[in-house]
Amino acid sequence: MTWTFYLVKNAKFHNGDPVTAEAVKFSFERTLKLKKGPAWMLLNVLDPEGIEVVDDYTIRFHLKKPYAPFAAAVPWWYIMNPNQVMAHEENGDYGQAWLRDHEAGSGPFKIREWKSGEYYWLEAVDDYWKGWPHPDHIGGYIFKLIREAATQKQALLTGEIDIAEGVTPEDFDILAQTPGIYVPEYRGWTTFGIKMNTKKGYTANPMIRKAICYAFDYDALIDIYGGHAILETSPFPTGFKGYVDLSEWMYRQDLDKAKQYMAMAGYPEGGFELEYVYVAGLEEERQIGLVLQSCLAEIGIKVKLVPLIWPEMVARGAKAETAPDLVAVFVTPVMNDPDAVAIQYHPMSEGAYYYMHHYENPRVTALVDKARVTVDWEERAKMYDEIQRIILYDAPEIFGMLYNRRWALREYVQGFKFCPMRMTSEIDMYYLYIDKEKLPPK
Amino acid sequence: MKRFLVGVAALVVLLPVLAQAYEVIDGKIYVVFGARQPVFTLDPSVHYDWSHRQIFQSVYDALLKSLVILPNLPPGSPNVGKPLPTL
Repeated sequence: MTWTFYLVKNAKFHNGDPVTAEAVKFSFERTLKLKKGPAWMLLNVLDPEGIEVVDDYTIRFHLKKPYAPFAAAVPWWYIMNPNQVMAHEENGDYGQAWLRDHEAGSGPFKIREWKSGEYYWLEAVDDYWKGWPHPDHIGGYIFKLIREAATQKQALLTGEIDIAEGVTPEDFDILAQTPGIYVPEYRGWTTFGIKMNTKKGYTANPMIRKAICYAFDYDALIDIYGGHAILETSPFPTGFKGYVDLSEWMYRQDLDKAKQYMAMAGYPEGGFELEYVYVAGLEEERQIGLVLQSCLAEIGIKVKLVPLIWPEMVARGAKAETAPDLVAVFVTPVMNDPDAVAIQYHPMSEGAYYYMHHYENPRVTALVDKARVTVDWEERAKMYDEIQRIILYDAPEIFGMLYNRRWALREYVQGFKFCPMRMTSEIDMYYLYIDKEKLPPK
Repeated sequence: MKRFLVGVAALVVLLPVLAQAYEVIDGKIYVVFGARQPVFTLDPSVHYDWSHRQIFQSVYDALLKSLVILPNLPPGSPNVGKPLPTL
């Protein structure tokens, strides 16, 4: 299967070099060889030798086999300036050390200055090759680290920040009522689930996992989000390509069933403790942990709440031996293709944050593999239907909810556009502009 | 007393925001985005999560860009809490 892309001829990197087919080839080759980041999306279907520079502005990809999600994966493969990257290569690192704090892009913004762990200051590229969608586009933005939700809210109210991404659901409601601030709200495809370690400890037993699924109070999730959420009705996000409505089969709180499963597992009285790991400072996840604690107490399971910073969570979850019993995870499909969701349940995702359950079912693995190389959508859809049903039956996680995506912005910051493929709090700053009529004096 | 405190809290919430975060330098307006999650590399080949994507989307281009746009849900909208139709 072959894909050919014709590049525009006016695209420039920030240092003035043209964006050419050679740069595209370099960037894809580099990602494939480093085998990190988005590499998993194409590793099994594209070799460096399969990337052909036809001419300066034409690039062709010869895939090893058909791969239905190819076009959906491409937005994740950013183009870097090979001249800048390779000029800073050290000991064959492909410029990785240099790129930790430098960029080699052609995008609408460039780095002005930054301080590790505090802020990144980006400024707009005045002569950006695509142009700007609005004449009063922002001159740039400061990406300022404020870890605590309450502090973010306060920072927005006191004029320390213009945009907040991570306040609590209650505080979003309050901010939406505050003059000078608005809160856009969208149905997202980000799912929240509590992944259970399927390889080690008590949760390796599917009967215990089902007991936990039946013990959990799902309506509490909606309450925690103040009604700004819907429950999952399948392991796939509602409305996503390939989604099937499995409402009648979903686990919902039923303590009798939960106790029956505990008895079948050989623990009619429970009598053990599980660890629930969540992101430190993320209040909603802590509250969900309290709900879990209370629900599982009903079937004799104690739950220990363990807040960790995200990198530590990912590090622990990377291997089944160290992965927590229960871990709170939000997952956003990274591309508009069901493969992006199904891959969470395939062992090729070992090490990724969305694979902290370490789930493995040979039938699901085979179906995911087959669906990826099947081009006919009707055929693929049947496979994803079966995949969803099997995963639900195996219960590798508590399938939770999809919360509405919200941000809080000062009203003079306009142009916000939502795309459900963007990750949890991400905003495309390219579209933002300043409404000067609403801009109060500094 | 409790009623008084609730009243004060409501007043504080409804007061217009007075101080402004944005920076003006050489006539350009820079806005400030508060984020909970740090960024530790500008290398789009080695890592991604939302905070890294935030920066990568700004700094880099790709051959294609995802532009699926869904409608806003206005406050009190009957759509809030209901699923979108299956695609």
